[in-house]
Amino acid sequence: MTMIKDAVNAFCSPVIIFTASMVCFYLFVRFPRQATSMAVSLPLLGLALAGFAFGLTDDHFRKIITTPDNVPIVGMLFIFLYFTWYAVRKGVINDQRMERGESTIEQTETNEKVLVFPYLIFIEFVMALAYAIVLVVWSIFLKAPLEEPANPTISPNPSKAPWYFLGLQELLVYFDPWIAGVLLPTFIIIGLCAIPYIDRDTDGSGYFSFKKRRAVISTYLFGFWILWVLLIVIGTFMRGPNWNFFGPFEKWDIHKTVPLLNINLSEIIFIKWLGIGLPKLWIVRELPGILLTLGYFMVPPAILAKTKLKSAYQKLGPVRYAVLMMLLLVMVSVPIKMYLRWAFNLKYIVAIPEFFFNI
Amino acid sequence: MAKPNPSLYSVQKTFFWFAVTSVLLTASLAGIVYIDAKRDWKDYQKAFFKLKAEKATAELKQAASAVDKKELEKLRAEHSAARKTLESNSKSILDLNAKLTAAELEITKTKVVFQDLKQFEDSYRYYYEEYTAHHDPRAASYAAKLAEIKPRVQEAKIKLEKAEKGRDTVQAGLDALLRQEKEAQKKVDQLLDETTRIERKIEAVKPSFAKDLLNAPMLDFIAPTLEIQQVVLENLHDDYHFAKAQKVDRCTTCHMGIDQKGFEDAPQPFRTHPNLDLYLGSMSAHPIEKIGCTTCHGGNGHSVSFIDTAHTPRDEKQKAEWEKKYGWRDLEKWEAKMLPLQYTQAACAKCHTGTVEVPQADKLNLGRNLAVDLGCLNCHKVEGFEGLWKVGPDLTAVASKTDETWVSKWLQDPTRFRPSTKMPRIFHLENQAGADNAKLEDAAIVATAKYLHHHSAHPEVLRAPQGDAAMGEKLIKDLGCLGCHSAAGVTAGTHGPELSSLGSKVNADWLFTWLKDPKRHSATTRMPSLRLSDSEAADITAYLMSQRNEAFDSAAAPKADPKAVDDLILLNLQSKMRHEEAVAQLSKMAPDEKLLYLGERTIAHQGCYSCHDIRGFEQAKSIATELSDEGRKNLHQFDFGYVHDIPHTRQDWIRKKLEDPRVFDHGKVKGYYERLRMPHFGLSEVESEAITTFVLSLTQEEIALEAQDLLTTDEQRIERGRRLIQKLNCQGCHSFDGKDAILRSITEDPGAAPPVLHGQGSKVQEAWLHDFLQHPTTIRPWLKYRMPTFGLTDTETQDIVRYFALLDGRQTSYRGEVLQEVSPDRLAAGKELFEKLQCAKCHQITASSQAMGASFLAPDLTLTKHRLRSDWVIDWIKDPQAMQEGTMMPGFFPDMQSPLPDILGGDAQAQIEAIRDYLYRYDPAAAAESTAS
Amino acid sequence: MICSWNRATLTALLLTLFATQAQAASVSGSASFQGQAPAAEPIKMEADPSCKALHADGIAADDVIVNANGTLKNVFVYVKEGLSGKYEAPKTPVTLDQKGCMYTPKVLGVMAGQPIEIINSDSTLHNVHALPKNSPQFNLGMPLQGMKIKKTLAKPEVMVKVKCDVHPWMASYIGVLDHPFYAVTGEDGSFEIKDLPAGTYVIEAWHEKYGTQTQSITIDDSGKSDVAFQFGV
Repeated sequence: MTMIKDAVNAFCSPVIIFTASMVCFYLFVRFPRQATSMAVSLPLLGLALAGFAFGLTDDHFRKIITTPDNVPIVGMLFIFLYFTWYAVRKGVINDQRMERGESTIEQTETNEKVLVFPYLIFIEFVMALAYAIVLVVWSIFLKAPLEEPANPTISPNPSKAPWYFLGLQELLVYFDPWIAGVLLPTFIIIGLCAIPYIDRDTDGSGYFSFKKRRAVISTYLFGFWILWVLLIVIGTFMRGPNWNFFGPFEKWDIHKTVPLLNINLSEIIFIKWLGIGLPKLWIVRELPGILLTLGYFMVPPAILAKTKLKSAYQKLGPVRYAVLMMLLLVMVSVPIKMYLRWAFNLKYIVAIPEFFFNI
Repeated sequence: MAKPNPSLYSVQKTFFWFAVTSVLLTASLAGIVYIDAKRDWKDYQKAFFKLKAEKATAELKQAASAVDKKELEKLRAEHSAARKTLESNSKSILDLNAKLTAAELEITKTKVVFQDLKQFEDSYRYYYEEYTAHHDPRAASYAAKLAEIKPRVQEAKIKLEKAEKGRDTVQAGLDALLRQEKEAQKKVDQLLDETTRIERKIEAVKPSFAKDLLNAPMLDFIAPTLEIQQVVLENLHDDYHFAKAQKVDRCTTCHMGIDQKGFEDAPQPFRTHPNLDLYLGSMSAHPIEKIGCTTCHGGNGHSVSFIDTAHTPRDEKQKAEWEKKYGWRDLEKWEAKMLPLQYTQAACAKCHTGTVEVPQADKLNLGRNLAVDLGCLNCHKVEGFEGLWKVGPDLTAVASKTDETWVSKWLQDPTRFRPSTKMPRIFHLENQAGADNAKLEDAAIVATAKYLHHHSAHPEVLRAPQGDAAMGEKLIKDLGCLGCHSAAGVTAGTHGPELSSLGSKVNADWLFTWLKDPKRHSATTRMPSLRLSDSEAADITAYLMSQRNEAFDSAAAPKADPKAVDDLILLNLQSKMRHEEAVAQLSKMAPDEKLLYLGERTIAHQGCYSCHDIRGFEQAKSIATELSDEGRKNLHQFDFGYVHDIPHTRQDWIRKKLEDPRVFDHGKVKGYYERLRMPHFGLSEVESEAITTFVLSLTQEEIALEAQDLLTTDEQRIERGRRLIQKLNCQGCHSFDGKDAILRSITEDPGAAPPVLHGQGSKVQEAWLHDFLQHPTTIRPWLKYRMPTFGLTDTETQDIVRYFALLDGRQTSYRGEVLQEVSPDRLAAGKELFEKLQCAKCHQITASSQAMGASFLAPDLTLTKHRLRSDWVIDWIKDPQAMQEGTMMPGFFPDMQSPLPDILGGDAQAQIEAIRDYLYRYDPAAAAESTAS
Repeated sequence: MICSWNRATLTALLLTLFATQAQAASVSGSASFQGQAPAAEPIKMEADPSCKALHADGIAADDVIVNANGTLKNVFVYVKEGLSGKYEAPKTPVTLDQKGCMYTPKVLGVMAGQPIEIINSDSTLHNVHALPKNSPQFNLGMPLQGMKIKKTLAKPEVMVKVKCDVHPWMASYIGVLDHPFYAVTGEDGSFEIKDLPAGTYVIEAWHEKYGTQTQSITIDDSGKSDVAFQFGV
C-alpha cells in the first residue's frame, strides 16, 4: 500500500507528470481514432475511476479532494476530459464517414428540422430541473467553508490564487513575475483574439473533423490541456505550503525543506564556463542571453518558412505568418523554459535586475 | 441512421423524465426546508420544556397536597350555595339587567343632546369674544344667542346626571345580588392560587399541537415557542482583527436553565450556573445582560450548534465521550475557542486589571503569585507586571558568602542541596543528555562559578563570636524567623529559603554579619534586620552552621574538561568571527581567561541576571519571550516540534512547557547554543494548572472601559500596598486583608502570636505607624516575636500607611489627634473609673509578671496618645470581642450597661468617653502610685 | 369541697401513671486513678499580690486532683449517645464563682440555654473569658467584688473552657448538653446520673488532662447500673 502511494507521489513530481502528460498528449493527437475508441477509452476511464477510488481511501487525498472548494475542480476535470474526448470522437467519426464517402453527421442532421418549441424547450426545461436538483443537493451536502476571521498579520500558507489562475501561479516557479503574470496572459488573450485572423481556412468548418484541422486542434489542445489545465491541476493538488511539491498522498508539512538553488545563464556562461566573473555592464553580461532569445524568435521561423512550413507561409502571407510564429514560439517557450529549469536549475536566460526585467 | 422520428426523440420518455425530475426537485426542496428546520437547539429546548413541565408537575403535586382539603370543600360548598341563591334570584337579575340596558340608553340619549348643545355654546362664546375684541357689531347677536343657550345646556346637563344616577342605582342593585357569589369565588381562587399558578406554568411549557404548528417550518415566523435566545452586549466585542463586532451570545438557546434557580441537578445543558449570586443573577456582579457568556468562557457566541460554538472538552476522556455522542471535532477556524472549564478563571483578568489578586479567582491568583514568586515574571516580560523585585539572591558579593565548589555543585542540581528551593534546574536537563553534553554542561557550570567569584565584591565581614547552638535553635523558633523561613525542624514560612543545611554552604563570619546587617551584603535584599544582639546572632549562627548536608558535601564537584571548554569557547567566538580567527583567539587565551570568558558567555546565554544581580550584567536584557499576549497567541506560532502526544491546543502546549520545558527539543538536531533554555521548575500538577491559567489570562484584548472593573485611585493605592506587602511577606507573621499568617497557625497560644492587623487603619495614627515601620519598637513586651526593621524608603512606608488607612476607608492626613478641652470633673470621673475597673491590673509591667505566661499582660497605656486614634479607643472599650475576636481584653460594658451606676449617672457612653479622655492624659507615675495605695 | 376532692383524685391518678416513670433507672459509678498521682505544683501568684494574700500557705494547681481513695476528682460524666426526646433547660441558673482567684466549681455541667450565673467573690479584677466553639464567645470584666453576670451557652458542647486573662492559672470547664443526664465526680470520685429512661446508652467520662473514655451500657426500667472508669498516668 505504502509502496504504491510512494510511487504515485514520486510520479506526480512536476518533471515526470509534465513529461508523461506530453507523451500521452502526443499519442492522443497522433492516433485519435484509436485513442477515442471505446476499446481504449473505457478501460482508461475505468482505470481513472479505480485510481480515484483507491486514492479516496487515503486520509490526505480525501481531505484535499473532498474539500468543498476542490470538488468542482475535480468534477470539472472529468467534464473537460469528456468533452474533449467527445469532440475528437465526433471528429474521428466524421473523418471515417468522409473516407467512406458519406456526408458528415452535421450535414445529415441539417436536413431534418423540428420546432424549437416544444422539443428543444421541453428538454431544456427538464435539464433545468435536473440542474436545479443537482444544485440543491450539492448545496445541502457540500457547504461553503467558513474559515477563520481574516488576520492581516498572518498570511495563509500556501497562499493560492483562485483556481483559474493557479496555472499562472505555477508558472511563477519558472518565470519572472512580469513574464508569467503579465506577458504570458497577454499573449494568451491576444492569441485567442487573433485566431480568427490567422486561421481563415474555411475547409473543415461547420462540422467536427480531426483530420482536416489536425494542426490547429493539436495546437489548441496542447495550449489548453498541457499549459493550462495540467498546470492548474499541479497548482491545486500538488503544491502545498511554501509552494513545495507534495504528492497526492503526502501530508502538507509546513516545515518541509527542499534544497533548490537556481542560477542565471549569465552566471553559467561567465562564471562556470569562462571563469572570468560577471561583467560589470549589464549589456555585456546579458549579451549571450539576449542573443539567444532574439535568435530563438528570429531564426526558427525564417528557417521553417523556407522548409517545412513553406505552404503555410505562402498561404498566410508574411504578416500573419510572423504573428502566428511569434505566438507559437511564445507558447512553446513555456515548456522549453520549464525543462531548462528542471535540467540545469536555470533561473533566467536574461537577467536585468537593474530594470526589473528578466526572461 | 434510421429515418428520424418527426419529433426527433420520444416525447413520452421526456414526460417520464419530467415527472421524475419534478418529484425529485420537490423532494430536494423539501429536503432544504427540513435541513433548515431541523436544528439541535430545538431539540434541546423541547427537552428543557419537558424538564420544566416535570418539575412543575412535581411542584403542583406538592402544592396540591399543601392545600387544606377541608377548607377547600367548605369554600366550594359556600360558593355553590351562593350560586344557588343567585339562580333563585335569576328573574330579578334579568329584570335588573333589562333596567340597566334601558338606563344606558337613556344616558346615551341625554348625553347626545347635552354634547350638541354644549358645542354650540362653545362656538357662540368664541364668536362673541372675537367680535367683542374687534368691536364688531355682530357681537350683540352672539351675546343674545349665548344668553339663550346657556340655560338649555344646564338643563341638559342635569338631565344627563339624573340618567347616570339612575343607571348607578340599578347597577348597585345588580351588584348586590351578584356580590356574594363573586366573593365566594374569590375565596376559592385564593386558596387555589398557588396551584393555579403552577398549572398555568405547566400549560405554558407543555408541548401541544398548537405549539407544534407554530414551530413548524415556514410558519415559525409568526409566534414560535422554540426561539433562539440571545443576549446582545453593548460594551463587549468580538475582535476580528480589523473590525470589532458587538458580542451576541446565543448560548442560552440551549443552556436554558443556566440563570434560573432550581436546575442544579438537571443534566447538561440545562444545569444552573454555579454560584448564581456572583454570576448571571440580575443582582450579581456579573449579570448576564451585561456580561453574557463568551467573555468569560470564550467560544463562538453567534453559533447555536454544539460544534460550531467551539466547546472544548476538559480532558481526553471527555473528548472521546463528545466525539461519540455529538460527533465533536476541533473547530480549527475559530481562534477564540472556549477554554476548558479548569482554565475559566483565566478570563477574569480581562476586566479585573491592575490588582495583585483577582477576588474569588483562587486558581488564577495562585498562578499569579507563583509566577511572581518563582521568578517567571523576572525573565518573561509581561505588560502590567513590571517593576517586580528580583527573586534570586544578589550575587555581586557571592565570594564572601560561599565558595566556587559549592556554587558549581549547586548549579548541577539545586534540589540536591535544598529540595524545597525555588531555584530551577538549568543544566543537565533532557535536551542536554549524553556524556558529551554532560561534559559541556559541567564546563559551563565551572566557568560560571569562576566568573561569579572573580567579579565578586568583598564587603567587610565581622568576626563571629562563639555561640550556643541550642540557644540558637530556640531563638529561631521564638524570634519569628519561621514567618519567612522553614528551619529548626519546623516547616513554616516559604518566603525565604529553607535553612537546614547552611553549614555546607556559608562560613560563620559571613552568616553572623548577614544576620546582624543583611544590607551590608546586598543593598537590595528583602531580608530584614531583626536587630539581633551579638550574642543572639552568634547563637543562631552556631546553630545554623551546625547543620550540614552530608550527601551534598560528599558529592564530587564538577570538573571543567579543557577540551569541552575549548569547544564551547570556539562555538561562541565563531558566532562573532570566522573560524580561523576564532581558533587564533582561543589559542591566545590563558586557561583562567578561558574560564572567565566562558562563564560570562554562559551567564549571558542562560539569562541568570534576570533573577540575580550579577556584576557586569546590570543592563542586560532578559532572554525570554514576552508573554503579554500569550493568551491570544496564534496556535501556529507554538512550536510543538515532534511532540504529538498532547492535544494541539494552546493550553496543552503551555502546560506541557511548564511541566517539561525542554521537551519540544525532542527529536530535533540542534547545536549546543541553539537548544531550548527555559529551566525546569519541578512544578506539581496543581501548580502547573494554576500557572497555565495565569498565562492564558495574559491577553491584550481590548475591553471597553465601561465594561472593566476599573480601580479608583484609592483602590490603586491599596493594590500598590498589597504588592509591597507581598514583597515583604508581612502576611507570614500577621493576619490581615483576607490572609491568615503562617506564624499564627504554628503558635499554640494566640496571645503569643504576632498581632492580627485587621482594622489597623482605623486603630493607629499615621505618624506613629510611619515611625514604627521605619524604626520598630516594642509595644507588647511579652511577645518574643520581634518585628523586623525592613529598611523601608519613605515612599514605601507612606504606601503601607496609606494602604492600611484605605483598607478601612480612611484617607491619610498624618495630622495626629487633636485633644479637646475636657472638664476636670470628667477627668476625675475617668480616673475613678480607671481605678475601679482595675485597668492597671493588666496594663502594668513588673519583673515578676514576665514569668506568668504570654497571655497575661496588655500594652503600655502611655503609648495611647501617640499611637491610637481616639474614636477607635471608644469602640474598643465598648466591645473588644467584636473588634478582635478572642482578644484577652475583657468587655466591661455588656450591652452598654455599666457596672458602676454612680459615676456620671451610670451612662455607659459617657463613662467610656471619660476613660478615653483620661487615657489621653494618662501619667504612669501617678497611676502606679494609686494602685499601690 | 368537691374541687379539692377532684384534685386529690387527679393527683392520685397522675401519680399512679407516673409512678412507673419515678422508678426510672440511674447510672452510678466512679472514676478511679491508677498509678502514681503527679505532684501538685504550687501556683505562682506573684503578679497579683491580692491573690497571693488570700492563700497564705500557697495553693496547688487544680488540673489533676487525686482523692484520698485513689479516685479522680473533676471528671465529667455524661450520656453521649442513645437519648431521644427533647429536654427543656431549667430556668434555675448554675453558679460559677471566682473565689480566692480560683474558679469554683472547676468542672460543671449545664444544659444548653440554661443560665449560668458568674460571681466574683474577690476584690481583685477577674475577667471571665469563655471559649466555646459552637456558641458565641464572650469575655467580660468583673471589677467589683460581689458583682454577678448571667450568661447562657446556646449550643451543646463538651467541654467549653473558661479562663481568666488577668490570672492565667485560672481555668474552668463547662459541659453544655441538651439533656440533664450528667454528673461530676466529687471528693470521693463517684457520680450518679438519675432518672434515665430504659435503653442502651454510651456514657463518656472526660478529664482535663487524661482525656475521654466511653462505655456502653443497657439499662432496664428500675435497675441501677454501675459503671467504672479508670484513668491513669
